[in-house]
Amino acid sequence: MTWQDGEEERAESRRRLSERLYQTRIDLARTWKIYRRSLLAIVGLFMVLSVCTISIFADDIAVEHPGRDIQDTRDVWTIDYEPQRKEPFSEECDMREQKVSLTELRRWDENGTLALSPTKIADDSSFYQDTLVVTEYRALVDRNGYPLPLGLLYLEPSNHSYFWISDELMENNSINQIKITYMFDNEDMHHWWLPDGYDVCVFGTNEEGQDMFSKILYGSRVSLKIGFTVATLTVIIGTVIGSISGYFGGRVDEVIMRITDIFFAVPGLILALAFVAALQAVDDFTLPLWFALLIPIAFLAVYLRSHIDETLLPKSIAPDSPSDSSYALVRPILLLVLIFAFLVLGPWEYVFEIGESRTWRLAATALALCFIGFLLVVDRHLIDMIPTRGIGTRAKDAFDWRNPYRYLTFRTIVIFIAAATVFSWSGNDEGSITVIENFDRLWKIQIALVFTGWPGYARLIRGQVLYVKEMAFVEAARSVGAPSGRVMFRHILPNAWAPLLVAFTLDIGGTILSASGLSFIGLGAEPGAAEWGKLVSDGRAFFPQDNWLVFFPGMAILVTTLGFNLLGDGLRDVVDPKNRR
Amino acid sequence: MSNLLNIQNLRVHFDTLDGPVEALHSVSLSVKEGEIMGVVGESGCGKSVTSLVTIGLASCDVDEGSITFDGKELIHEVDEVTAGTLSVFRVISAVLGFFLMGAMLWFFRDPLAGFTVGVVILLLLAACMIFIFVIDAPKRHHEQFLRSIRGNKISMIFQEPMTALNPLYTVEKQVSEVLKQHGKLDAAESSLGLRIGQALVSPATLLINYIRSDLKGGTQLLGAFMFILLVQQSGNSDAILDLLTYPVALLVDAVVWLLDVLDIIPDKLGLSDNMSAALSLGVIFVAVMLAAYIYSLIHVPEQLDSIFQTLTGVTRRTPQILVWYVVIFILLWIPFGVLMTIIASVGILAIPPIQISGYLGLDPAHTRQVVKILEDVRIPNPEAVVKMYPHELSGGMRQRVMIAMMMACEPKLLIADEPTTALDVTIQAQILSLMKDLRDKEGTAIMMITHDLGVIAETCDAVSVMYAGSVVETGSLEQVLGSPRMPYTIGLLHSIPRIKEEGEVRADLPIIPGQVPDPNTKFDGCRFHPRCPFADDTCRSTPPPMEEVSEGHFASCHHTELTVDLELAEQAFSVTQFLQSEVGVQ
Amino acid sequence: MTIQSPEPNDTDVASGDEPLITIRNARKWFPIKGGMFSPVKAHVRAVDGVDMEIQRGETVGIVGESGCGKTTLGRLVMGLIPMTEGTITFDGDDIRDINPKELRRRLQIVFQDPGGSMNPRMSVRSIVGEPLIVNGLADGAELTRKVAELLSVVGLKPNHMNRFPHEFSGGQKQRIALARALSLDPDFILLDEPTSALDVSVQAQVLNLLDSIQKERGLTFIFITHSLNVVNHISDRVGVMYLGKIVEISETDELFANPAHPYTHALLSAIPQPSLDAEKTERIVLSGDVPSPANPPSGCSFHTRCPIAVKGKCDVDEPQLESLSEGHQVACHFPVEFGGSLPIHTE
Repeated sequence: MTWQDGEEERAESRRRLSERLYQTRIDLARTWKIYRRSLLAIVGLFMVLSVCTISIFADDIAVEHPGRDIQDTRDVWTIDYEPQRKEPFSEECDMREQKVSLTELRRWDENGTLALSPTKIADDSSFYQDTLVVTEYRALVDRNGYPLPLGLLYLEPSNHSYFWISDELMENNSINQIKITYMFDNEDMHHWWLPDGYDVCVFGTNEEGQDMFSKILYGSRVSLKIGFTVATLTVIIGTVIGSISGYFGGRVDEVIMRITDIFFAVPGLILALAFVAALQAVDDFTLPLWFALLIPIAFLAVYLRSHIDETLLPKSIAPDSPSDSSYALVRPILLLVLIFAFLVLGPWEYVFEIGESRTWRLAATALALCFIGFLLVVDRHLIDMIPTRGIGTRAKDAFDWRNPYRYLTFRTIVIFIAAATVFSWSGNDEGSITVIENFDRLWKIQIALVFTGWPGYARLIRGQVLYVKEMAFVEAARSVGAPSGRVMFRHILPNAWAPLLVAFTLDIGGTILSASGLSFIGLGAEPGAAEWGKLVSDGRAFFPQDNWLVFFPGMAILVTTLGFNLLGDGLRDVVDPKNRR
Repeated sequence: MSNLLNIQNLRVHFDTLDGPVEALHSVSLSVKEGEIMGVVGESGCGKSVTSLVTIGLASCDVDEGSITFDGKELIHEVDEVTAGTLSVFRVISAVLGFFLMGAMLWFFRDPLAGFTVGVVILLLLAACMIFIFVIDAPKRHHEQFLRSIRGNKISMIFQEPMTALNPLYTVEKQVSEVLKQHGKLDAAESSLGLRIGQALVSPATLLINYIRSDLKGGTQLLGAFMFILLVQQSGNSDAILDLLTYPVALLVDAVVWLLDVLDIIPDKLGLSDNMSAALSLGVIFVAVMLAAYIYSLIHVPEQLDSIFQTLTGVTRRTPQILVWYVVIFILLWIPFGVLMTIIASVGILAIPPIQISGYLGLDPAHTRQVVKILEDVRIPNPEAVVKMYPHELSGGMRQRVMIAMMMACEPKLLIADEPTTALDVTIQAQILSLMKDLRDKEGTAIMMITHDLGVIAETCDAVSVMYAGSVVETGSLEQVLGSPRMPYTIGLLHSIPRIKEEGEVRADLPIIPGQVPDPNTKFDGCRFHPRCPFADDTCRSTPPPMEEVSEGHFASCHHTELTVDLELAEQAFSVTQFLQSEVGVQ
Repeated sequence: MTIQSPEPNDTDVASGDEPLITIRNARKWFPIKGGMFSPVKAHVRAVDGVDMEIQRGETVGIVGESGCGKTTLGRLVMGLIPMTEGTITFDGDDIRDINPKELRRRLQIVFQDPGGSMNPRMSVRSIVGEPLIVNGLADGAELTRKVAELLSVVGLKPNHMNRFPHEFSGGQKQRIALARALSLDPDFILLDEPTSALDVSVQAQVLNLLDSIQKERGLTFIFITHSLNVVNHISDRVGVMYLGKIVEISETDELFANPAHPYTHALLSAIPQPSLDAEKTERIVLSGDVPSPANPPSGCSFHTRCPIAVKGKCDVDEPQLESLSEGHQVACHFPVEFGGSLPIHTE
């Protein structure tokens, strides 16, 4: 068998691939055609895309990083904060009121002062001040606010950062502290892409002098991350549980649904409170390495089992096997669960600890897989009495090296990712994998939201699976002998996931809203973090005078949530079976 | 007899995802008073669309044509100018609505300005709405007119009796709704006030009736209530609660003891705390799994099975006992005052509305009227059926109820859209004879839409055959079935399997090759020509005229002279060359 | 992947007289439960004692109204549902003893709703080829070849295999379903109302196709339908079912010429004939509705609606299938005489 012999197979695979691509293209075109019928859906898509773009390019658009910590922790210096609570586009963002202590200057016998920014804290927690370039010298007041003649101070012509103080002022001992008001070159804080006059303090500044615009831009990252994480996790958990429940029906279905009801009864926000309080001490989420490695091994084991069933020990060569269909799917799951329970409780940890080198770990993984494979083969051989003769030749012939296109499947991708994960984790120095580095409050509320969010999806998928299960083509597939796995993944699930997409997008919006609500109460983001709900909460004290503090973060939440909702509505039209897909 | 319903040159189109699709190209048919007209055709021919357009329930746009019923026009033509103006004003009002929201936001910034702007926009919006209202008046009047006709003069029965009735309402409610809509209800017997009063005192009567009817259950309930009352009043509720929780406490103790026992094992092995907990759980888990696995492999011997049976028989009562337990626990645990408040609120707030809705159900006079209507459609035991819900009736009964509903107002025209397709053959026979009797008694004209030529032959006086969106042949029953002139009708009649005479050899069925054309395909000429054995160039290029081949018999074909001899025409369909032509397989 | 050749069919051509399928006292009772933990309250007796033999190469039609159990009977014969009681043998072996994969290969099914019986997301190639893929018989280019062959057998073009079901008309979809049924080269096909959802003109095409395929491959059919015209055209023998039992079974011509059971009479007289000169015999209109299969009447299950039921006999004794003449069996205490009509008829 040479490479040439496989030419026909390869051509066939290529043809099928191109057919599938063509079909996908047609599907997408049709989807777009249905979607764009609704103006609101397009608006929603636009909103969502803009929020996503903003969050990706936040670093480039924003002028101030929210991580900048300007809080005086030791309360020693009277740190002069920047333009506090200034209106959007107000002039005062470029203005600085610098307090100069004349007493200090007299002590050091200086008669001039630099134009300096407020004290900032560097990364190494040291204090520093930037030199500012003065553009316009506005006013001069004394300690009590009485204006002083401007002429008392003048700028050094060659260095616009230096103020010369006139001798008159220096010798006037009744004035010990003056405040200079001047406009300075604040180009760093100007957005280059906005017209002059409207390019600084676009959304105003908050109580601590931080630029609201930048905070809102960075807040989009937080919100989107929360939304997508929670939605994805709930979808995965809900789908798995819901499809099991729907597929098996009967008692299994009843029990799982009652458990789901229990989870339904738990209110999400209250549970978030409880989680935050209970997990207060937990700072990061790590898994021991030996346990973490079992996860990719589990995936590989599942595919190993199907490989054994299809290629190495196909059922078609079994003589007369008693068909006890009620245990058809349960038995392999039970077997794998047993094996893994054994490994977890038993020797796996000790085996793993023997050596810390990558080679040993990889070898241990391979050993485990061989062990599992051996048990599976033995199970099939003893229970189903499938002969194992010729297994060696079948193993050799199994991999069709002449037709690589055959392996462009989902299965290969998963195996590849699992193998790569095993490889990378086995080189880990510490004995544990950090799943979540900074297990802050945001993570805790995400876990809480996942905890209460998955029942909705479980119910949804269960309903769909129950509905699709009754259709004639599922019966037809069973009547030609398709095994349960194939029926589930190729027939039922592809026809059942359509409403899931809609629920997913709507859920992202809802999660963002819930997270903002929690931050508003004070449970979510830590103080100083740029989370929209937190911003609204901070600005609440100054409403309605300084209403930009509340308005813009609120609008951001509105636009994002509304965008996702409209997107979900548009998708609902797309997946509607009446549109004859 | 004059024409009751006259459809002329109807052309409609649907707006679909792929552009406008013309559903009907040119439909002309008429129904005389008291006549049963059958409209027959295959899927995609447009017969249902025709009926829906007639009754005004279609979601398509009428391009041209007219439908006159009893002299009155049923299609409302909206000229372009009005439609245009309407849409412009609708857009303006939507935009004004947005601005109104903006004004409300502005109100927060600058109250005075915001208020004035808001008021101005509101006034403009009101003006817009009034204008739209005025312009739309003719359409509204037409809608009102159609509503007065629907159910009253023209009724329609649908194909699926299973879903055509509302599952939430009883039969009497649904039939009386039709009567009420058209003002044909008899006068009510008892006044509304009296019935509301009855409903308000009904919880007490409800209770008394319940106890009287179900003595055993009632005494149980009363006994439990007395018991709880006594316990609460005497202040012993805590003691009783302790007594009730005693078994649960025992259970918890047992579990704790079990865990303690299992703890000995890891202690002996010298493992750490975490491991010991995991090990205990793991041991239990693995043991259960192994047991289940082994159980799945072996066959359970029969003795064991019977033990299981007795066990389940004993535990059958457990849910009931459990429920009683939990209920008494809760009732003792809730403080007495709270309990009384709950009962009082539920009793006062919740039960009377439910009762009122039941009492306001139907007046006895109306019920009698509905019973009489049901008798007319030969429903057995109408007094019982009247109180039933649709899911309690069989398909044939539901279809009869539908017919009753539709005949309640004695319409002049009954449109029946595949009324018996979903029913069994024997039931179908009953329904068809019922419809014929209704026509004889009331003089109702019936437009019977179906694809079953047998039904047509049995019931109809006149037939219209539809194909791909137009009527291709129409005439009396004898004319169309006896001497069909349009090739499609001939082919259709010829391809129906018939019950053979004794001794006849089974031959291949003659077919019309190919299939019904896609509604989107454009045809210059006859729409049947790709499948017709007589087609020629004329047929391909010019649309066929509706020729009157004999008195009252119209066929839409260029070559009606070729179809005079029926046998020859039938043979044309059976010619092997034609059968195997590429027309068949696309 | 190595392509395995199909297992040779175990057909014993020599035993020509032995029936292909024998059904003895088949019963299927579905339990009705009160709730999750309650015991069984009653049973829906879908199939309540059916005896039948089906010879190789013949078409047996089963007619009856909705709820009579014909669909369930078909599923029992296919082995898709386990029987509550009774035996069904296929080619001499009890179907419970036959390897399920083998069973699936030799008995195939064509469903009523052509659109619903195909996964709308799978291409025609995958749909028709699924039996082959699932049984490991073909893959890749070989599969494409086989599917092309099957499609041309049923009268479709091979390039149709890349399309999706919704692009086809009802008749074409039913042809695809037939191609799928033929892919494993079965001995027996159960046709569950295959033409009920099709237009009249397409129905004729499909019936002709079924005829030609049967002759070519020597297939055995069970044709379930409620249309007596169709069953008259296509079947060699006809069985009439009522409430889970076969009340009359005989050769087609014989049944239509000399119906013996009152229910058969009622059925035949109830069919509207599409011709002017059909003898308009007195229509026998049965009273009442079909009784619920969960609570069948005592004695003869038809006695509640039978126009000639005799009190004391028909509501007490259950009639068994007895031979009236060669190949004609009836389950009635008072079967109608040959060529006669019912002595009493309403309307």
